Amino acid sequence: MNRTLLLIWIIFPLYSGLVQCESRPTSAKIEGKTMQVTVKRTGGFTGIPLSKTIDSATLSQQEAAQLQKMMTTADFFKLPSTIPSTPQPDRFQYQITIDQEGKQHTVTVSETAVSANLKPLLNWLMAQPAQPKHD
Amino acid sequence: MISRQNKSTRAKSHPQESSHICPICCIIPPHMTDHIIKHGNEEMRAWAMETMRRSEQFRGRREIVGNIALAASTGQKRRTVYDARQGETLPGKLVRGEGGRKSKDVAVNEAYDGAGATYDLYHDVFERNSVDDRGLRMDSTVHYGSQYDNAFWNGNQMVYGDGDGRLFNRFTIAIDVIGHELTHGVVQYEAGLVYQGESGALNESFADVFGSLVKQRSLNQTVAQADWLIGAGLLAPGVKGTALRSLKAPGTAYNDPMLGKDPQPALYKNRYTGSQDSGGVHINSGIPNHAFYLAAMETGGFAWEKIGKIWYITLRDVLRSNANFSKAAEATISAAGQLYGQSSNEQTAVRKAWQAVGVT
Repeated sequence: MNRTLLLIWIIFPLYSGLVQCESRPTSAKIEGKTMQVTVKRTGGFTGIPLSKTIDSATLSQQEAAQLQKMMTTADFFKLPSTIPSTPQPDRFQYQITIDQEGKQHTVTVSETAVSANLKPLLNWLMAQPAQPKHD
Repeated sequence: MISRQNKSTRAKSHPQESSHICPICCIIPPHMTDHIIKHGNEEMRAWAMETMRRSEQFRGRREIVGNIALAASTGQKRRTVYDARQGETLPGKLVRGEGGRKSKDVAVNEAYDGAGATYDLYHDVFERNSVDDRGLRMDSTVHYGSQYDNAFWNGNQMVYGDGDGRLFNRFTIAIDVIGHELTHGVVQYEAGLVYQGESGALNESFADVFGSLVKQRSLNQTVAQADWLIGAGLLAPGVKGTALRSLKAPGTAYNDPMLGKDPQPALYKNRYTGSQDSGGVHINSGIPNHAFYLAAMETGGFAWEKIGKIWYITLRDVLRSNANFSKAAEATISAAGQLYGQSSNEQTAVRKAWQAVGVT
């Protein structure tokens, strides 16, 4: 009886460890940091909102590096919370939120006021697959 | 016909323009605007285009005044269609001018014809000469952006995307979209409804209402024959829905796994009070949309004739830029009284409609 229990104590954790190793995605952390990025688009003629979330843990090393580069180009964490613009009818509004190791920042910007520095990041985010709506 | 109210008595928002430059007074030579168009950034290009348009308009008016043929300036459409070729530079390559040959590109023809039908509604029914009531050119750009699920009026022209093909078709496919965008221009030159909150929802509603009237008139439909839908035909095959919005039954236009459910309320008590979509301008427009529908159905016949007229006169002569739904109700009821008499059937229909949606 004792030996069986002992075996279970030894083997089970080893087995669990192996299983976890197999199921962990081969992916990158950016400089050891994890990051979550959400973009929400509202407005437009249709008025239908769209939301996309990207977890850096699901990205390849290359993609993660690309994302970091675009964030740097945009100087994202230094952008104002609301980029000012004159509202134009039927234009999209974007809300980008980046959560990086406890540091969080949200930027709201109209389609009309997206700078050349922010555009690559926004385009990349919008190109990610959309999630179906939950009702 | 109701004579125009004195516009200076109402605060109006003006079309986008450089506040310190009067293009008519200091005419920029063409080679300069040309250079700016080739090398400037988006803002500068927009200014140069606007300058050229206003100068052209001015020259047009001078010729007409010189010939003492004022009547000839009304009824004259000036349409131009451009192709942005999947880019975002406006206006793009000129592909069709007024009176020009039909294009092989269906989007070009739809933009051209839809602008014409919109002009005709405003001109024939409301005696309005184009977006600004002074014969403003109607410029449209098609194939804007890549898989762009949108259309808009940018203060100077209409812009249409091709849609992504999975959720949306090209945006010129529905004539009411074209009427909607041009009506944003009319609103800009008239009440100037601020695009936020209830005034923004009213702005959206006028655009939907007159977009719908353009479609109804192009099909010669009575109120009973009209489908009262906005963007029917815009949803790609396989999408669960008939249109983007319904004036007849707000909230029922679509219910799809990717798009979600049509969020429009029919009743004021169910209005959206959040901050998205500039305070829900595309959501709460369902309420005044439905009021228009109810008044039109009560009155019968062609919607553009009586209720359409009331709505137009309200937009042109009564509403201020910060109007809310309650003010809009007052304004339409007042306009109805002026046009058809106090306690007339028409005024009663309008009054009942606003009561039914819970605004009054």
